[in-house]
Amino acid sequence: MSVFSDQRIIDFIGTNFIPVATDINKSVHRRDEDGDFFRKIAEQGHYAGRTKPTNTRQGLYVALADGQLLASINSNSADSVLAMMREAVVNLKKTRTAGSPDFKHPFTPDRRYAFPFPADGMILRVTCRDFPRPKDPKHETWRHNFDNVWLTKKEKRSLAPPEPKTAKVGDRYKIPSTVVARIAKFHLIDHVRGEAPAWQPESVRIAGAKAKVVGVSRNSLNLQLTGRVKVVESLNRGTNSANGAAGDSELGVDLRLAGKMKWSIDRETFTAFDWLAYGDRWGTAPYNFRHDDLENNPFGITLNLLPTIPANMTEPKYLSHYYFK
Amino acid sequence: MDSGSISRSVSSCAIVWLTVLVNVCAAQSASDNASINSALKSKGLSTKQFEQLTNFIRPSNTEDKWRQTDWIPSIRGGRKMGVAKNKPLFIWAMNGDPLGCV
Repeated sequence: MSVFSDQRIIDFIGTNFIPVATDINKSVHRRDEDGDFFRKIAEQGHYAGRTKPTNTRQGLYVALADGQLLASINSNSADSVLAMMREAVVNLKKTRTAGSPDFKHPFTPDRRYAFPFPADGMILRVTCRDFPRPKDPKHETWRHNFDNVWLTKKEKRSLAPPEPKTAKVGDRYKIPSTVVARIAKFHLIDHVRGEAPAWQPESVRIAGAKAKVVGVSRNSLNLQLTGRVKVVESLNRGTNSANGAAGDSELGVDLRLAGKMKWSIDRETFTAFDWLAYGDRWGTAPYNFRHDDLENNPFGITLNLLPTIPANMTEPKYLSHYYFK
Repeated sequence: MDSGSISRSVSSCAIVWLTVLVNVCAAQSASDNASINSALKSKGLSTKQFEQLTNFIRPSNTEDKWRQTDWIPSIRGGRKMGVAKNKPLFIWAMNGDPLGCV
C-alpha cells in the first residue's frame, strides 16, 4: 500500500506541517518564485545534484517558508517517511529562521504553466485500476491512479441530446467522435503502475459512442451511453527507466464504454455523470512498471463528475500537450 | 475446569471462528471476482454490473487516506500559510500532480 494510506503519516502531517502538493515536471522548470523556491529546497535534499539514472527531484520535503530544508526522502516505506518527518521536527528546534518571507509583492506565474479552467466547463475525475485476473487470482488490484478531465462548455453541451426540451424516451444521438477521441487520447490510458504518455492521435483506431434518452422529467433527462475505444501504439521512446529494457514494444487499450448521465434542461449542465471504460490493456511505457506485465489483461477506468470549484481544479496531466486541440 | 482450560477453550473457539471467517471472506472474494470477470465478458452491462465494476475501480474510504488532508496546490500558498501558522511545509513532489496523475 502507499505511504499515504498509513494513518500515522496523515496524522503526523496534520499535526506538524502545512501540506503542499506539487508537480515537479512543472516546479523544476518554472521561471517564477515557486520554481526558485522548489529548486532551492530540492538542491538541499536527497537528490541534490543528481543527473543519472534520471535528474528527477521526486520525493517528500519538509522545509521552512524561507527555503531552509529540514529533511527529505523519496521512499515507499511509511516507517522511513515517518522517521524523516521526526528528523525534520528535531531539526526545526535547532534551526533559526532567516525571517519571514515578504509576500506583499504580486506573484507573476510563469505563463507556460498558467492554464485557466475553461469558462462554464466540466471536470471529470478519472480513476483507473486493474480488474481481477481469472488466470492469476493473486494479481494485486490495490494499485490505482487518477487524473482530471477538463471539458469545454461546447464539449459538455455536445454530450447531451441536440434538442433537450423536446427529447423523449428512446431518442438516440451520437456523441461527437472528436470529443470521444480527445478523452481517449488524454485519459483512456493505463496509468495504473505509473505514468504512460498520452496517445498519439493516429494511434486512436476506434473512438465512437452513442447515447439514448432513458428517462424524461420536467427539468431533466436521464441518459445512457455505450461505445468503444481502441488504441494501438508502437512505442519507440528509448528505454524503460525501471529495467532498462528497450521501450519499442506495442501498447494499447481495447475498451467498451458504458455510462449514465443526467442532464438538467434548465441549467444546461450535467447533474450526474458516470462513465465506465472496461476491457483490456497491454504493453508498457518508458516511465511505468508494466515491463513485467505485457500481456492483454483486464482493467478499467471510471470518469465521474466533480463540482467546478477551485479545490477540484487539479490540472489534467497532459494539459500542456495541446490538450484542447 | 480450571481457568487455564477455559482460556484455552476460548482461544480454540476464537481460532475456529477466525478460520471460518477467513474462509468465508476468501470465498466471497472469489465469488466477487468471478462476477466481475463475467461482467467484463458481457457486451452490455446490467445496472448491477455497471455499479459493481465502477465500485471496484473507485477507491474505498479506507484507501487513499491522503484525501483526508487539505493539500495546498501552490507553493506560494503553502509558504504563506506556513508563515501564518508558524509551521514548516510538507511538500509532496511527484512526477505528475500528486492530486491528479502521477
